[in-house]
Amino acid sequence: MLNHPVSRRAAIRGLSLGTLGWTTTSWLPALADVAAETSNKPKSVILIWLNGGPATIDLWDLKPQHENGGPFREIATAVPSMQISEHLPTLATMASEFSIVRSMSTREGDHSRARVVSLTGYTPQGAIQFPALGSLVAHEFNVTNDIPNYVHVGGQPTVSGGGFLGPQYAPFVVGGRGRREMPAANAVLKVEDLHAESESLLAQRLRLQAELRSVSRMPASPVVDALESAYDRALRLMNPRAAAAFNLDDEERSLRDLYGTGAFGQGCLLARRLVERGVSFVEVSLDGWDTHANNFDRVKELSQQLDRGMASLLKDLRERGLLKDTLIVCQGEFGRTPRINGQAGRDHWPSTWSVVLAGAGIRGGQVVGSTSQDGIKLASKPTHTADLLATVFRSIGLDPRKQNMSNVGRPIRLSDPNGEAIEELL
Amino acid sequence: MTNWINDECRRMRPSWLMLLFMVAVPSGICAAELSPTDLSRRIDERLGLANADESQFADKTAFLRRLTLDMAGRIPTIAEVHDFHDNTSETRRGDAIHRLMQSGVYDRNMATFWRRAWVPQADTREFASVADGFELWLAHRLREGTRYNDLVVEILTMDTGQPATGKTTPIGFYEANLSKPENLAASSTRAFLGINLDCAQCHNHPFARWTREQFWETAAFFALPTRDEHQQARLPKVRIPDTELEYEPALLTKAEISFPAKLDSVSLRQVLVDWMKADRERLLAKNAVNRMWAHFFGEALIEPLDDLSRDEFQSGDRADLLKEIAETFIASGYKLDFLVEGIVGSKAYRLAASTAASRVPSEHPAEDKTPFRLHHASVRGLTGEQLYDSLQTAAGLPAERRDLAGGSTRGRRRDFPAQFYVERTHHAERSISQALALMNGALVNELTSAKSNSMLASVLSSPFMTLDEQIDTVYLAVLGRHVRENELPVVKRNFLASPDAGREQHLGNLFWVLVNSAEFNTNH
Repeated sequence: MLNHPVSRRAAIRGLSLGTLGWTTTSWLPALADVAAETSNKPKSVILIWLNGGPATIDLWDLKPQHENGGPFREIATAVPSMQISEHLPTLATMASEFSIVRSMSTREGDHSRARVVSLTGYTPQGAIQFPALGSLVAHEFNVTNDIPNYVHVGGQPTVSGGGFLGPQYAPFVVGGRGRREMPAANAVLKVEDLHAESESLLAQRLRLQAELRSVSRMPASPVVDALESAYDRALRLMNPRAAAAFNLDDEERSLRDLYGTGAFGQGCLLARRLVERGVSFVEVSLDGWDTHANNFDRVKELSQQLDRGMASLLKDLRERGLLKDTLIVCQGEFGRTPRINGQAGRDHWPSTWSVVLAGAGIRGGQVVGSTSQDGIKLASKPTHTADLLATVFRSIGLDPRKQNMSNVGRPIRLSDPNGEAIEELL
Repeated sequence: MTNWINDECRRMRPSWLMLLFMVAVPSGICAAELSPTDLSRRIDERLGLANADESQFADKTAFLRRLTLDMAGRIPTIAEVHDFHDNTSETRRGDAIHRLMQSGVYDRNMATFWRRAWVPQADTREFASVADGFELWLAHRLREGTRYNDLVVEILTMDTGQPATGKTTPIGFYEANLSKPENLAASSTRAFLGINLDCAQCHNHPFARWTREQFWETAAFFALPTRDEHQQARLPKVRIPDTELEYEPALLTKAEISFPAKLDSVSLRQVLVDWMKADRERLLAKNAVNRMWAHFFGEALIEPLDDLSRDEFQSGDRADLLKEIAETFIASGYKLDFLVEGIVGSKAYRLAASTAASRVPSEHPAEDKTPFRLHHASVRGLTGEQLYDSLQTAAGLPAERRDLAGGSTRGRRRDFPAQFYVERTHHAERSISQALALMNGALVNELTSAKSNSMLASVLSSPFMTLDEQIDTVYLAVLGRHVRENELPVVKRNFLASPDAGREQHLGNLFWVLVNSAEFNTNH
């Protein structure tokens, strides 16, 4: 064997040799213990992503006095100054846990551009590969864990790589894959390729691999180290203890039902399991909000899923003492036109919309900003993407002005320095 | 610095008449006399490798694998390995280079390379749809032997208002930039000149060479000329968003422009590209050479790739070498094949990926005052396309796409490379999902059985082959080399350890282990 001073590779080799005695009960025990030591839990973020652009005028900022309001009624909540849609009854009882920002105003009215800007905080510029919020958070906290630190649940993430932070901070996708592939209609909540087809076959292969690695003549290089590190992390994730994070069958049937049995409800439950295990950022996507036609029937149905999933998540996190360390953000890429179109639908509308924040450093029970009677104009507290992101970073103890070096050799701040955090919420 | 083109000219000492002619048109004539071998020699002299010998070079099979991956985008087939191994002539490397250059897969591979350099946005889901059309156009042009400068001209002077029916065009460049002047300005200068104007879009940076004004003046070349009250075309003005500031087209060098009499969108962009070709800084050629160098060596001569105009990158060994190669490239008439052959024919390209501890590259290589030397080849990660095509090749399946003439049934050939996207090969990283896909994914696992793997099928149906020969064949197919003496007993011992598994499973396991190895997943 070669004689060179690269301890990391030697360590990895030793480790792989350790798999020689592999069985399901003793999978890489040394590594599993290392992971268990990470007890000092930093903050986490769960982003509930309402894909397609939700009609927030029918969720969080109703206009029952105006023809733009449509048929939905407003209901009272646990907070006297806050009313929300009648189709969010469970959340209404928990209003002291979350706050609504009713004065979001952005520029992009095209789905993909609006998604990119919402999630990276920046307008695409030349070759700069802006990482998504999840990558930034995962990179800042950099938790040691057998489970990836940024997990996307349901459909495809908007930014599939790690941007200029590199693939180590790319979203780990549950229920879909591919960089260019479009989201599958009914993606099942599972991690692609997490399990070998045959464990005994895998054992044979890993044994041969370990022995051949020990006689390998590959020169030391950062690329080889990175490859072997990815294999190492993948094997750690395949470790039944880590892989179990993704197994919802471990949860009580009653709790699973409480969250809602659809992919979104189960995704919220998965998010809780991941956050519990130290994952820094989880995105749970609920698709179908692009309601150009038949808005009210569809929003009603989606609201019921949202109500169950999000309310159960808030309650579950609070009961487990996790809510104080977990920020929840609920938003889409933009809102929808206050005016109702000819097909009882609403079209894209970035000028006035709402987001909901809860947990971590957020003061609940607040309503920030307002829109005009018809919902078309902002009435107070204009809030832009940069302001929202500054709030997100501040609420989890990160400095939005911190810089990371980008792929074009220009430092980029976590969020646009023009943004100002919403102080009322912090 | 001495101008070696002139050195070469003097050395040739042609006839009197010829000499007189050369004085009149020095570089043009002389370039015709220059061969790629001269370029290779000059690179090696510059790098102190003129006297490098076999002991420093990669062995035969490693060289062929590297060359085939870089030029054809896949590993060599078993037959190619055998042919190269059996060829003992002095010209075997040149033969291999020429054979690869003649293959259609070379044009396809280089089309992907240049598309990625020029339209990197197409590697994101948002703009993925433009990749195919752009690469198809490019592959056709490369096959026709179109010169580099003409490719750039065709892209930048495309009449985007004319719908192209039934023919391929570089429209993807405009689509990926949403046809917005500011995006096109940033992308054009970065892609074709290696200039980073991104920062200048928003503000004047105290140390940057380019101002915000210059950014928007460049953007104005991509705006549509307006018409005055007499229907006369007038220079367009672009306004910086949220300001009252407006700018007309102007060149980065502030050179005087004589605008065309017939002013329209195309002729306006023609002014910009004419300047790119004529500019004394030679950034058009330098950028091409620098990116090509990065393709074959991993690290470019000047890093980052899109900041060639920075003051501190104008001198030093790396800058000098870049300038020389760029001048030769221009003298060749911007012939890409000349440049490629010059680079892969050099001793520098033959260096072994040494097992000695790697020298840590300096943060800003161009500022490094120690002489620029290459001691060994860098280990580079495979791109997604290389990985997919190499997996197919290893399994004895055709890697080359037959769809150069059109067609969109790419399926896995599209999804798999996208899943294994790599930004820069010498800094390649792997994600957990990628590692999982290669270990447990359907594609690789299908290839571990003879049903889907023709290489395994033919090995298993060759009764005259001993076990040792079968194992060796799997090594040749996957790693492009023979099994080593210390590996063979390890493999056989492992086969014996699982006696219940049949020969197919044993060899399938070996295939799995080898395609999951660092040796297979890198170019070294």
